[in-house]
Amino acid sequence: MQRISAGPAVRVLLSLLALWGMAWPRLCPAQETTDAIRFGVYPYKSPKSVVEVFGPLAVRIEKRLGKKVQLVSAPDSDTFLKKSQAGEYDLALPAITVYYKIQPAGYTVIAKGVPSFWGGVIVRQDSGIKTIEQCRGKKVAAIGEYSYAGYMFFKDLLDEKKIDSTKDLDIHFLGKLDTIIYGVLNKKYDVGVIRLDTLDMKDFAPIKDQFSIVARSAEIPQFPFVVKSGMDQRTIAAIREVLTSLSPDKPEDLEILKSLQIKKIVGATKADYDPFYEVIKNNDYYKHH
Amino acid sequence: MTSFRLRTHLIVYCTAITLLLTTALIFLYSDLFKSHAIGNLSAYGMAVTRSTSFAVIDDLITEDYAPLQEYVRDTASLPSIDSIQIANNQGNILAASEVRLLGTTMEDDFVVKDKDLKVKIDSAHEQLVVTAPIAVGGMVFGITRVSLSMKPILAQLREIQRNTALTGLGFWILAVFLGTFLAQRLSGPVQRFMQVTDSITLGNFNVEIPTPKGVLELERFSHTLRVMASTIASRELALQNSERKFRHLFERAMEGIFVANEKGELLDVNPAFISILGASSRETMLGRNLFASIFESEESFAKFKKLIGDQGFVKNYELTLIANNSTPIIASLTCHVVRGFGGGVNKYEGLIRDITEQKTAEREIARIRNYLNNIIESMPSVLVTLDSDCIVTQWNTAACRLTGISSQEAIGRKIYDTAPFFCKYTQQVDETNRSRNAVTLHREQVHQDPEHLYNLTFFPLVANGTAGVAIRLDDITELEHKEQQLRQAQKMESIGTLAGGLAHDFNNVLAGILGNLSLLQYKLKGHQALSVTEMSEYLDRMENAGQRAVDMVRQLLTLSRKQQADLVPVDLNLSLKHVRKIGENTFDKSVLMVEHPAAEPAYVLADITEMEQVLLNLCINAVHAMTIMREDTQWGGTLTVAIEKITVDPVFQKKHPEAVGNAYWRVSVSDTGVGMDTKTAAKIFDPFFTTKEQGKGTGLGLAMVYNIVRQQQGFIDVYSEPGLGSTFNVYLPVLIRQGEVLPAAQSLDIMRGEGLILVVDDDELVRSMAEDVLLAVGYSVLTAANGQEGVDLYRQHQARIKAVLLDMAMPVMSGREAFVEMQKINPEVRVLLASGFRKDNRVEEILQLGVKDFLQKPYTITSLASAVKKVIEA
Repeated sequence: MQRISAGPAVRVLLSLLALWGMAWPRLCPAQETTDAIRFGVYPYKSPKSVVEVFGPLAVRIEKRLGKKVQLVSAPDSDTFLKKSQAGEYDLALPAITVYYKIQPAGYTVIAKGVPSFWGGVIVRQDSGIKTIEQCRGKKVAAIGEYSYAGYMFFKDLLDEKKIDSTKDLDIHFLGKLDTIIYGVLNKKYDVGVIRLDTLDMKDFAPIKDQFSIVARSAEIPQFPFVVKSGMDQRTIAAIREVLTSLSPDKPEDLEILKSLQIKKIVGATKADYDPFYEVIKNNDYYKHH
Repeated sequence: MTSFRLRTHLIVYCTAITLLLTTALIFLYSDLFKSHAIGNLSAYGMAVTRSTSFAVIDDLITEDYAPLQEYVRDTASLPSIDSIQIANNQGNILAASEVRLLGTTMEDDFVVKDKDLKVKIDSAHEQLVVTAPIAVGGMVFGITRVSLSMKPILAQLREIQRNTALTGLGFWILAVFLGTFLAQRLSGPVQRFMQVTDSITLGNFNVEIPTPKGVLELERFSHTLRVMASTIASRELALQNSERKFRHLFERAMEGIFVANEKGELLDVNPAFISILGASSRETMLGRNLFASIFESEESFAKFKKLIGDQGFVKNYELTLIANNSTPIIASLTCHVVRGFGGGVNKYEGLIRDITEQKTAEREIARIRNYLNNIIESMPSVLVTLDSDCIVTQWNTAACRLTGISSQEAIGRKIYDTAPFFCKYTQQVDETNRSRNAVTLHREQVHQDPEHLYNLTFFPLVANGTAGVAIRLDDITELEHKEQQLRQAQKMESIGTLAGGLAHDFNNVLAGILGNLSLLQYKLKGHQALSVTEMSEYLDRMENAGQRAVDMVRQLLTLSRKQQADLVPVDLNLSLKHVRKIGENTFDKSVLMVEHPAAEPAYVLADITEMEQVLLNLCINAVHAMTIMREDTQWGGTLTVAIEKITVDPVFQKKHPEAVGNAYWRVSVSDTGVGMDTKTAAKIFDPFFTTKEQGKGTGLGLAMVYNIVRQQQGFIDVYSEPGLGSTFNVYLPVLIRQGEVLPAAQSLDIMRGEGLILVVDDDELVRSMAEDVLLAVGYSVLTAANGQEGVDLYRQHQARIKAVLLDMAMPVMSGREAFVEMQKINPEVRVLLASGFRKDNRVEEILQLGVKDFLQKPYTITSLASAVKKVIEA
């Protein structure tokens, strides 16, 4: 068999081809499916969980519109923010903090989940901690700096009490609510910062009474459903109709609502989120990210 | 067809089998290996795709494609993986181990349109391609495809096939060697067996048969060959023996046997043939023409030739041939043609039989049959024979006369259709057929003519091997008429016999009347006064005498009445009373008449007059035996008449086979007269036989008694001893009157016992019967034929003998003498005296000597057993 030896020109050509191949997915996202509606969900859960929770909703919208609905998420909050800002999503469920930032990119609120929720600082009832001041020197578990319910409001409270979060406390960002709750319960952490309605979930109901709430945040509206500017009104109306038609009385709808930790979805506008903007706009993390 | 050696066959078969097995093994094992290896590779490929799906699903959901290429590169380095690709759900390749594929679309053939995993063999590239969707919650986010190299598997498969083929080659070489070896092992013995069978074929059965060891089939074949040789030898011997036997039969046969060629020239003949034809020797017969030698005429030969030509055989062809000594012989010729393959006559075989004697015998039989037919036809009796189906087979002239039906009309038809009046005898015909015993009916009116009476006898008949019945009808009308006349004559004789005594009595009566009348006249003439009482007394005497005369006359008139027998219930006690009345006036006054009537009315169905006639005749005979027949100085004696009921039992029936009913009245008339010997006793019922002096008896009395008793289904037995007297026992069936119940066949309430009994009786029949009875009821028995023998036996066995059954009248030594002798031996001897006489003075006299009890003959099993038991226990 004749061996063919590759010359320098060929090698260069192959290298270029390889680089193009690696870059191709980024250069050519799925925009070629122009008919599809891209439904971007803020990565507040693992990608698989996002698909499990929003997959059925996406299928309903797909059936209602007669169009393919491509459910996607992002590896992280920043990527989601960037993609949103880049207008990659036709329909999106951003975190509130993200919503305020992508609003300029032309996203409009069409619906939201109710009721609203609160962030809270929880301790074990036998811990003796009753105030934020008593958190000084304690080991704290929180969701992350990006999460208002899971840290930001706590940071604001610490700032008010002149407590340095980097020195006076030992803060750990765990990202997962159940890890925080069981961590506090098992005395691995002294203080937990969580979204409070989490304790009302079925899994935590039996242990809810073992916690006491030291502080709670302002009322936080649920993540808004937004659509990209330029979407025709008929499509928007159809999507809203699908979202608001979810009823807890229907077993198949109840599953979706439960997974969203809401009772139902109602129509909403920007005005519904303005009050909370006033709360958050001065938060350091929000300001710097 | 070409034949090959056994070795060639074995090698070819071994080669074929080895090749077949090797090929099958290669295909089977290759297929198994391939299936197994590809299965494993598929499982591996599926595991890789599944692992890839888990690894990249998040990246695909979050559209973070950068890690995919790195993952692909790592995975591609795993063993057996030629390439791996990951595409989005549109089929656009997002990551691939072959970078040239980046930005392209997965080949349509492999794009997964649904959610199923696909495995496909790409033969062109020797790859196994596994394609699987990357999905979660039912939503497909991408596709992964792994191409696995099958080259190692295929290389291994080829290696296996090569090795298997080599192994098969090795086996083939081994099989060829084995076939050669086996052929050598087998063909040697087979060759030897062939030599042996050749020898056996030539008749040499003593050849030594090889006995190879180690090969079961050859051992069995050797055994079978040995058995076969032995069997053939035995059959050969049997055949020779058979040939000898048939040759012997041929030589000794009574029939002449011959074999002739197609021209009829004799080839072989047996001695009988030579003898029948009267030839001097076999040689003189051989070569002679059969047909020219035996047929006496051309006509007979032509007839024979036609028969055998048409049928191929002739059976029992009768011809008359002239033997060499010119004697005509009637012969029967049986001959058949033996044909050759072409159907032509090959030879004649047959036999010739001299049937001259047979023909003579047949003629004689025909003559006898004709003679018998003439007798039957000439008989005055009607003779009809029937087969088992009651079809008439014989119908004589008397039958034609009686019925008006000819024998041609009657024979072959059922008798009941031919002569319907026979229908009333169906029962008798059936009974005769069944029991094979003759049945007789008397005085039957079989036809419409009431004047004629017939005796019918039904005989069992076996003719020509078939059972049937012969019916004989005897017209007894005339005989009956004569018999009535005879009976009347006999009655007159009886009256005549009585007349002497009657005249005397009648004179006495007249004397009584006349005496009283004379006395009365005398007194009246003498003017003597007669009182009323005296007058009345004379008149009463005369009236009584007159009344007695009236009674006597009436009795005689009754007895002498000539009338038709009229069967009515008759009380024997009453008949006895009437006879006594007659006897009182007529019998010799030296005879004492003793009566023992039955305790109850003894009814029989009879004619009153006939019954009284029977009793009177027996009594007259008894009186004569004690008076006029005596030759000694003694005169008179005792006449005993007894009536008693007898229940039939097996012993009684054995002694009296004519007893058919269950119960009989026995009328015993005993006398102490001259008696008679057995020779005389055997004739007494014959008509006209008499032992009385000329003019004193006609010899008809007992004959008439016998007839009357038989007609009333009764029977008579007689016991008599010369010098001692006679007893006549008349048995008449008990008549069951309305309301009475006939006793059932006697329930034998027999008293059993044990011990040794000595039976002494001169009558062998009585002796053996007594022995049988006593043995049956549990005793041991010694028998003696006379008194002396009895005494001797008693002397020998006195210690063991419990009782002696002793006949009263015996030759050599009478019962009385024997008893006296036995008493001398043992004063306590227990003797039961038996006699045909009734218990009278003679018996009483012996009983006085010390005999324990008396038993009257004939006795029954019950009475004998009971009496013996009673004597033993006395």
